[in-house]
Amino acid sequence: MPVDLTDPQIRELVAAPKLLPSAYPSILTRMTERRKHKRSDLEIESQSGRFRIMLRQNVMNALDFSAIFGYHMPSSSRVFRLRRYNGRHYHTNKIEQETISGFHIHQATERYQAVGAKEDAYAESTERYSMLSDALNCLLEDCNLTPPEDGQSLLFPPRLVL
Amino acid sequence: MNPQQIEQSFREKICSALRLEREGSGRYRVVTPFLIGDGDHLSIVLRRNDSGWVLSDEASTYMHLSYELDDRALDTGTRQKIISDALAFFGIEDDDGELRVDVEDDHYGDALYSLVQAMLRIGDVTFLSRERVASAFMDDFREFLSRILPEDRMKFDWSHPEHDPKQLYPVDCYVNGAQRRPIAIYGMTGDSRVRDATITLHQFENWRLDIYSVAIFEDMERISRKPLARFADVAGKLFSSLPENENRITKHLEKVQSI
Repeated sequence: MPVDLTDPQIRELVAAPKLLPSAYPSILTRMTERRKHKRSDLEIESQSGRFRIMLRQNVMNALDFSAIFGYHMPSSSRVFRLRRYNGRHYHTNKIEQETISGFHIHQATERYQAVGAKEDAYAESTERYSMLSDALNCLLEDCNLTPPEDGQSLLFPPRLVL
Repeated sequence: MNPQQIEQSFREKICSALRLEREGSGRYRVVTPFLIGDGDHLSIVLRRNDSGWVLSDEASTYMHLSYELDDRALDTGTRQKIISDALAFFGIEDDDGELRVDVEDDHYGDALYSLVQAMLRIGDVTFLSRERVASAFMDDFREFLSRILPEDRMKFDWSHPEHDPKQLYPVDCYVNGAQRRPIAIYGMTGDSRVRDATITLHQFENWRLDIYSVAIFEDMERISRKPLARFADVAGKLFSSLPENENRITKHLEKVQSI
């Protein structure tokens, strides 16, 4: 199966410095609710390309959430998921034949694209967060997303207001 | 292994991967081996309510779909039909985004199978994303042109070798002119492709290239008015769709090639 992005390209996109728009706190915290989950999306323009942060929070289960960092593929409507910081549920890495439970971070890889799986079908367990706001802060740190110079250093108050 | 042993192996494998994990009073997580395409397991809960036991996805299916699709895309058209058909066929209730089924007469296994199949079927509507549908149209576009055009005169993904070495102005299918005017044929799946083709045709004018252009739309009605208007000013011939116009397109290309 052809791959859309190679491992070096994925690493480069994740590591490239990216500036958050000044309105990012209000956009991300203003979540809309539909079908029993809340969501917000933020578009980011940078020299490396166009990206999107997607936040999802299940209303029925506080531990079911997702903070996603995606890349707009050029000349396409598709958003390639580079990283996904998930809540607590079971996940299986099919190639490695290992099942994990708990909070986990999905990562885009070349090898999973090559076997026809979703680009972010590989995940690793984490203990770095236990709620969506902390997952988002991990995403911002890992994906080199920085606030504008006049922005606050901490994205959310101590607890995300849903 | 004999068939009985194979059957036993099937049962052991599936049964060993299925279990309940207690999450509180009257609430269990149903752990199954069924995966979504990203490796996450289907999220299913068995919980007790006033009337008995219910199996529920607790809104996880639609939330997962929202990673790739806007919620409103599920409300109309083919996706909505697939979802409503799956719910009806498997007897699943959609309670404002929560997929659920009441366990009746202690038929826990039947209820679980129904919910699992509905969740998997609904999850597959991502295959109807615009990107995948556009990809299928371009496959049809190429297959059709390969069928009607002489192989030695056509080239897919062409760009002008002297004017455009960086391939910034591509043509989906180029028919070389030999003694006739060459033809640039575009497959149009959306506004962005229309805009790109408009820019390319303007560039061809700047380079004073005499190339006749033909556009075949996946569905012209879905193109925004302004991009379509700008494109119509520079393009030669437009066909609103492919399946209904195969004969017309064939005759038109034959006629243009003979000019």
